[in-house]
Amino acid sequence: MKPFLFFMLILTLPHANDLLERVDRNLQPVSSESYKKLVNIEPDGSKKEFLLYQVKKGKDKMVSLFLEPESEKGRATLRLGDNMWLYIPNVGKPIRIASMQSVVGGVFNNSDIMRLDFSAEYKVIEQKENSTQYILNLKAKNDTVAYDKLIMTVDKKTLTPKKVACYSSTQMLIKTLHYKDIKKFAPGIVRPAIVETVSPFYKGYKSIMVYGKITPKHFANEVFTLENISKVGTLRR
Amino acid sequence: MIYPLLALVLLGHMALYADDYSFDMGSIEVKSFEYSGYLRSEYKYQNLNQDSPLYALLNRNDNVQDTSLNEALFRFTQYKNDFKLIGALSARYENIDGSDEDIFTIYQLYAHHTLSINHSIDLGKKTLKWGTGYFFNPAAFLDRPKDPIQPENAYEGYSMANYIYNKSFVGDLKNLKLDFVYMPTSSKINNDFYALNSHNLATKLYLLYFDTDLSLIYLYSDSQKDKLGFTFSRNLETYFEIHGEYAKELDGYHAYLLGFKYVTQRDIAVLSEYYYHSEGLTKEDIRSTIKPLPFCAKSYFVHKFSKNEPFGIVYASMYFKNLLNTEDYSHLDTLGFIYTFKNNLEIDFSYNVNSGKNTSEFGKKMVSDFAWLKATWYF
Repeated sequence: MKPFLFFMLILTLPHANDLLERVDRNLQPVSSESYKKLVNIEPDGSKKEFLLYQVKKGKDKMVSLFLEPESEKGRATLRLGDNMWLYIPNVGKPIRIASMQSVVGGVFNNSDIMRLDFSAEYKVIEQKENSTQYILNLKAKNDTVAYDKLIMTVDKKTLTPKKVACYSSTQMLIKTLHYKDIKKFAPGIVRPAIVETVSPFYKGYKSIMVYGKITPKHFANEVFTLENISKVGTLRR
Repeated sequence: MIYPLLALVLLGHMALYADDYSFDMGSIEVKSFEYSGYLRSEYKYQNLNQDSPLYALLNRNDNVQDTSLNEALFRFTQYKNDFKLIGALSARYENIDGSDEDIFTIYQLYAHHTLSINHSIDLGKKTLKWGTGYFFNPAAFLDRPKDPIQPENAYEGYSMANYIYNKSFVGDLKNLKLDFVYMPTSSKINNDFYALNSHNLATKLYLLYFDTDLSLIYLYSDSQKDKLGFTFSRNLETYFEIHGEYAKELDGYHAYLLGFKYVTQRDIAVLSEYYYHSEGLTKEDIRSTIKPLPFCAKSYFVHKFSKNEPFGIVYASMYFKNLLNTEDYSHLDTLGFIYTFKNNLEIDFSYNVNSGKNTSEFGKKMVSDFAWLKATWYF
């Protein structure tokens, strides 16, 4: 019986990877611009908000620009595959950074903010399902990814994530992302508008990511270069 | 009585919830004039080194020197179709030992014109900031020298014309960028680069090749020796980056920098750089100079260790920096703490010690140690 089950698993995995790509497409078009708000809530209820403008193209290109708060305004990050740079207006030039470093502090790290498609960084190694949801076990394609393993619960109806648990290579739970509030952003883009994040490493802290606008838009590859990291704001107009 | 109270609490909770989970579309409105900047106030409490030759030369008989600095930095961008006017203006008020000075500087003021996605041109005063080094940039031929004590500070550029060609590719070569810069000098323009009339042309070829930043720089001057530069930067792992620069003046000096950045499992960032300049001062040169220019020795080794969120304090950072002169082994050590408040106020407090023999670069400084408080409010 066991060899048969293993055979069935192998047969279904290509479909599972297709499913992951469909989840990606539902979350964000291949090429798009978006605005999102990050809120770090501390145990005493105090909070700090960040406003981000992001442009994404394909599976491996993304630039982000902080619009708020004033202490972070003008900071921009560029991700080109595994390469990541940070531009700080005072420093005046891009500096290579590590994906695990935190740009904003709190529960979010760079990879959470500059997340590429799940299917670009992970492959499905196991798929389960019940009447309302799929449960995908995702493994990082290489060790440059911030989380080695993800357990993703996908809503069958909308084909969007409901929950993503992020684990380290030592099977330690690093954080859990809860996707909420399904909303239509543009034709064909119906996705959760809110992602809540909690981490056992930040007890009592909560981080919220609120999507305000997602617009499919074509961008030239040159947008995702060091020359333009200081000019991301120009793309907004 | 209890129900209205409960309803009030519930409403309050819902308002709080709505605030966190709602998105204000007005906040993303696009403006044709954008600005940012900061107001900064700095205060240094400095203990004096009575063995310093400068202390004797100035006939001082006190133990302490107070200095303060207030600075306003205003950055702006005015957008108009494919044109942009970009500026960075600084106004400083400095007070050392009771005597004060006002300085107003245009750090940058230039027009940018996007001709197409691949071609653009900048005209005016601009800071190029070439090079991959964090504390030193030997290959930044057309930049003013950086202050290794405050490498993240904005500084003044030069007046120039800069044409940029930028092109992306698919494959091992992902990006190519060509810079052509024309920078004249005279007694009125760029005169601290060269005091007389001169014409300087620089070109920089940048490649992102096999995930490595590579730059090749050539500076031609009709009045000074030509210079050749090379820079690189690469992530060997996501937590380990290496970078370097090489600069050569034809028939003249050569200088280089090698550095790395490493992020440990405990999120401690280690940044180290070694810098060498063939015409820098030796130990003997420094010994015979009363007040050597800052960072003018042949070689330095700089280490910076920084930890975000030390002791679980979010929005805080702690750092230790060691600037070592490897000619006379004198050094400046800094232990600092930075906290950014939610109202855009940032506090940077550090304690700094100059150490070394009293004939060495840091050992002969008039200040032996100092506490430094910087308060910056961003707008």
